[in-house]
Amino acid sequence: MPDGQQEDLMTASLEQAAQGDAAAFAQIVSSHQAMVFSIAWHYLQDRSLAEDVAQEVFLELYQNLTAIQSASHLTYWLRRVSVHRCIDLARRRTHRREQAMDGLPEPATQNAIADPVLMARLRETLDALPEKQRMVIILRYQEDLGPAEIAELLRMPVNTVKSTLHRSLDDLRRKLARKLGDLRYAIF
Amino acid sequence: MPFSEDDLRQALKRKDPGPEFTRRVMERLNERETESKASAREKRGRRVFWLPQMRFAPALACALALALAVGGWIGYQSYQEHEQQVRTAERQRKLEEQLAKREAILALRITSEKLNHVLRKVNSALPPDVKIRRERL
Repeated sequence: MPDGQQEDLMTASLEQAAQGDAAAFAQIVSSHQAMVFSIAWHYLQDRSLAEDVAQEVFLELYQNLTAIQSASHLTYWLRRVSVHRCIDLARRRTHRREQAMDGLPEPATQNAIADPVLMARLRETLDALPEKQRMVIILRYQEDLGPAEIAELLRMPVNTVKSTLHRSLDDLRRKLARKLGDLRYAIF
Repeated sequence: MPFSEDDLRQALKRKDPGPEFTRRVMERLNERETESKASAREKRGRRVFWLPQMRFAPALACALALALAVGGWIGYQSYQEHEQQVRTAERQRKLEEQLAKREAILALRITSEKLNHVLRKVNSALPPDVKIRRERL
């Protein structure tokens, strides 16, 4: 379906949902659940917490439906609220992770992963990054957002986003190299 | 092992929480709506019988205390005034009593004088062996 048509459909669903149509709201949830859940999952690295956050975001959306003007506004709103809920939760959380990622089944992805070991190590290493760096990386590589959009979502100057992104990639490379070096040492 | 930006995109690919997610959100939404309706009903019910809000309780308590203090002071003042009036009236009544007593004694003395005068006159008019004696009552 072309993007314009999809956007029109979503705007129509928004109007219907704002008038109390539960099926239209379910359609909105279904269309955006992967985005909201993935931001929370990649940031919190805890499936149950990520699902809780995603559910809360959609419940909050239901209460603010009348304020959403278009499909693009909806996407922006969901991203912004998800990001801030995740940051708030991470700050409140005393126990960093209740359940390790390794012990849980991986949520469904659309395509097969290229190198499962590299992917797993990348996610683990990402989890070791400071919170702001982690969110910048998630928004850049999960959501494909540019520095200006990330800056708007995180309320940061664009240059800070660019430098954070650069530093985060360097940290990620260095930590991953160390991790994979340890792994090689353990195998051989 | 170096990684590319595509590897990072692949690692951070969107993940679907599963087909049950939407159902769970809708269930929570229904639960929340039911709860909010019940709590609104409960609140309405409570408002009929109880104080509507306790938000203004400290201000209300201060105002009540102030009103009590002012009321007490006014009450005490009016009590004092009333007591003063009672005392003044009592003094006035006593003065009037004393005055009346003095006047009554004076009247009795005058009467006594008059009677003695009449007695002397009568006795002087009577023969010497016939005298009216003055008797004490």
